[in-house]
Amino acid sequence: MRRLLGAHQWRGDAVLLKIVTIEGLSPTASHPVQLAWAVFDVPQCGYRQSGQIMAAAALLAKKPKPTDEDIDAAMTNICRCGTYQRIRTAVHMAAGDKI
Amino acid sequence: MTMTVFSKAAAPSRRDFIVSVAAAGGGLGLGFHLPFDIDPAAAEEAGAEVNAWVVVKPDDTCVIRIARAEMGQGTLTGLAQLVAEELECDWNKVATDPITPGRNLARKRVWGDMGTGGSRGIRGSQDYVRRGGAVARMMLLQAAANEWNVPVGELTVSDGVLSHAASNRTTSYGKVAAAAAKLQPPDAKTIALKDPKNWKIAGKPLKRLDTAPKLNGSKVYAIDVKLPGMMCAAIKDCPVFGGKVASFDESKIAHLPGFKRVVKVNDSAIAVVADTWWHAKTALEALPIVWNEGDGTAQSSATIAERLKEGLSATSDNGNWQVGDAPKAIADAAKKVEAVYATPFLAHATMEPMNCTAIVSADKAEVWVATQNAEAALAALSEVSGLPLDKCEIHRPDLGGGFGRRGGSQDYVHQAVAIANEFPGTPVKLIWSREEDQAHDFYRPISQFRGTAGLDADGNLIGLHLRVCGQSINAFSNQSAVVGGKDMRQLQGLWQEPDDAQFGYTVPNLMIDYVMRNTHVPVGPWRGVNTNQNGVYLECFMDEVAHAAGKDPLEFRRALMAKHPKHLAVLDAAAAKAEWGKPLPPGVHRGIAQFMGYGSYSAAVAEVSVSNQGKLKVHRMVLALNCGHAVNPGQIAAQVEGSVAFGLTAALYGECTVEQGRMTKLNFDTYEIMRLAEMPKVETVIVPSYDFWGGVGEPTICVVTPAVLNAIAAATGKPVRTLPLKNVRLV
Repeated sequence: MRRLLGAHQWRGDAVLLKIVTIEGLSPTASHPVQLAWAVFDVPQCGYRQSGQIMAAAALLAKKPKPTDEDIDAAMTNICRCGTYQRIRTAVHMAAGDKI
Repeated sequence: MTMTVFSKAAAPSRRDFIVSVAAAGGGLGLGFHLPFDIDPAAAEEAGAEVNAWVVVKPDDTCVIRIARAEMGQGTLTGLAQLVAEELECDWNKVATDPITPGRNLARKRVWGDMGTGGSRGIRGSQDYVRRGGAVARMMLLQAAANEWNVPVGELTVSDGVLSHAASNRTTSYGKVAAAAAKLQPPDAKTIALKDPKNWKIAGKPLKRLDTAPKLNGSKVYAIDVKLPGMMCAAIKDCPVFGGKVASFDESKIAHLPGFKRVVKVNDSAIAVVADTWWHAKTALEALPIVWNEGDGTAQSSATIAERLKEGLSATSDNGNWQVGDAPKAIADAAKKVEAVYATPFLAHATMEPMNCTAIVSADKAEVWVATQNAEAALAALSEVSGLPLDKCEIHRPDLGGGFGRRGGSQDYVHQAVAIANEFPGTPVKLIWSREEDQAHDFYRPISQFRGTAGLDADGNLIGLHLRVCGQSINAFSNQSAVVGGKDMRQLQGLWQEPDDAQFGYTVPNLMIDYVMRNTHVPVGPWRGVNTNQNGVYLECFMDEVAHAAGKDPLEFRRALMAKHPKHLAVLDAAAAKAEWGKPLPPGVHRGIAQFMGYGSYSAAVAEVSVSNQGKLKVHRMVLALNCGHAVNPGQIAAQVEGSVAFGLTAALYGECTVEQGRMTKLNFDTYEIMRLAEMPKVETVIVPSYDFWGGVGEPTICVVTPAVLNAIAAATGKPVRTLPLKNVRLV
C-alpha cells in the first residue's frame, strides 16, 4: 500500500488518494504478479506476501522490464521465511522475461 | 477493491477479516470458527469419514486430516502427499482439514501429537499417516468388492477410481465411501507400505496446497481474527527480565479514546484493554507504570561476556565426551592452533507478532492463536480459565512464522486468557507490539567457544579440544533434562551418538565439553537451536586448523571422514556442485562447511568477495542436503533457500544486546533483517539415501554462516571470530 501512497503529497488537511490493496489487484487473482507467484509457489508462511506482491506490482507499473538492480532497489519488504530468490524469479516472469 | 480516503485525519480504513469457513485450506473450514457443539463430521456436506485420516465426499474429494502446524515450512502439503500416496486418490481432488486439539482430545488423540518443531513434522508422522491412508484405501477397496460381490484381490485402484477388470466395472471413492465407513478397518500395523521408489505423489515436487489464499489477501492469520463485540488489549511486561510491577496510575489514562480498563495480567505485566488495538496501545504508552526492576539491571552484554570468558577456562564442565587424551596430545603436538569465538543472543522476529484472542464464558472457552503446539495452548487455556479441557478449544490458523518461538511457552495464551477472564463472554484480542515482541522473546542462547588443536609434523590432526561455554535452554525451561549438572543438549551437532546430530570427524585424541553459564535472559529454541552456533564454532575452527596445516579446507576435512560416509557424501556433493578448486573470478573466494542436525546431513559452499573497503558481497551458496527420504523436493529446495536467508541474516546483523538488564534492539531499525538485495544465488543439491528419515526445516541453516565466514577468511586472510558481521572490520 505504501508503494502507491509514496507518489502523492499531503496538501493541507484534505487529500484525495486512490489506494489499491491486494484484493483490488485483480478480481480473479490473475494479475501477472499473482500468476507468477503461483507458478513458483513463492509464499511460505505468506504473512508478508501481500506486501511483496503489491511492491512487485507497483515496480512493474513503473518499470515493465526491471533489471535485477531495479528489483533490488524496489523490493525492500522484509521476508523472514527468506523467499527472496523465488520473488526475484517471479518478478522476472511477471515482466515477461525468459526464466 | 479501491478505496478513496478524503481526509488524512481519518483513521486508516482496515479491511474486515471475518473469520470465515472459506478461509481455511480446501474451502471446508472444518474446526475453524465452528460453534463447537456441532460435530464437524456432520457439517462436512455429507462426506463420509472412512477413517480418522480420510473423509471422502460424494464428488470424490478426499479430505485429509492434518495434525501438525503449518508455519510456511510446507508440512501440510507433505503430510497430505504421504497420505494421498497410500490412499491412491486423485491428487487434484485433495483438501485438508487441520484438526484442533479439542477434537483430538475428544477422540482420545486419534491423530497423535500436534506439536510441530525439531524438524519432526514429516519424519515424526510419516509412518502412521501413511498407514492411515493405506487403511482408508483398503476399506474403500473392500466396500467396492462387497458391492460387486467379488474378491477384493481382483480390484485395482488408481486416482480414486476402482476397477474390476474381469467384469469391466468401475466406480469411484465418492460412491463407496459411505459403505467403506461402516467396515471394520484392517490392522494398520500389519500393512505393507509402498516402496518410496514407486511413489507417484510423495517424492514429487508438487505445488503446495495452501498457496492461493496467500496471493489475494484472503488468508486469515490469528492476528486478523475479528469477532462480534471484540475488545483489544496491548501489553507491557517489565523490560528487565525478572522484574515486577510496582505500581501504575490508571486515572491518568481513563479519559483516553476507547479506554476500557487496565488489567494486571501477572506479577510483571500490565495490559490495557480498549475498543481498538490502536487505542489500547496509545493508552498503554501513556500509562504511568513504576517497575521494580530487580537485580537484572546489573546485567549487560559486557558482564555476560565476562562470565562466559571465565567459563572457557573453568576446570569442571557440564557434560563432555572424549576419545584418547586430547590435552596431552595437543601439549605434545608439533604445532598448536587455538582460537576463541563468540556468538550473541538472537531473536525469533516472526513477522506475525505474538497475539492471541480469547473468549471465556461460564461453560466454555475458546482461543484463536498461532501456535506450534496447539495441545499446550489448550492446556494453558484450561489452566487459566479454570474450565476443564473438554470445555475448551483452540482454533489454530496457520502461523505467520514460528521458528521455535511458538512451540514452547504459550505465554501469550496465558496472558490473553487472564485478560479475557476479566470480561466474561466478551472476546479479547491481545497483540504484542513489535517492541514488546523483541523485548520478550525466548532468545537463542549466548555462548563462547575455545578450540584447541594439535597437528603433527605432517599437518595431520592428532588432538582436538572443543569447549562451548554458554547458557543452557534446558536449565531455563526443562530442568529435569539436566541430570547431575550435565546438559549435552547445548553440544547438539557435536555428539558422539549417531542418527541425530553426530560429530562427523574421527580424531585420535578428542575432547568435546560444555560449560554452563546461565544469565537472567530467558532462552529457548531458535530455528536450528544449538546447531547454529556449534556449526560456526566447529567449521570455522576446522578451517583455521586446515590453514595452519597448510592444507586445502576440503581435503583436510575429507581425510577425517572415512568413518562418516553420509557426512562426507554431502560435503562432496556441495563441493562438486560448486566446482571446488576451479578458478574463480578475481576477488571471489570460497568457503566450505558441513554439519549434521535433526537426523539430516548438510554441507555448504559460499562464494564471496570483500572489497578494499571491507564491504562483503555473498554471490552464491551451494547447499547439499541428505534428509533420507524427500517427500517434496520443491518444498525442500524452498526450505533450503529460506534457511540461507535465515542464517545469513543472523550472520550479517543478528544481535540482541543487553544494557541495564533489558534488551535494547526493539525494532527492525536496530535489529536488522536481510533484504532481497543481499540474497545470494542459492543452488540446492538434494542427495537422499532413502535409508532414514531426516528433518528439513532446520538442518541447513547451520552450515550457511560458517561457509560464508570461511570464504571471508579466504578473501581477507583473517578469520572472523565474532558475530554479527556488522560489528567486524573485515579488512
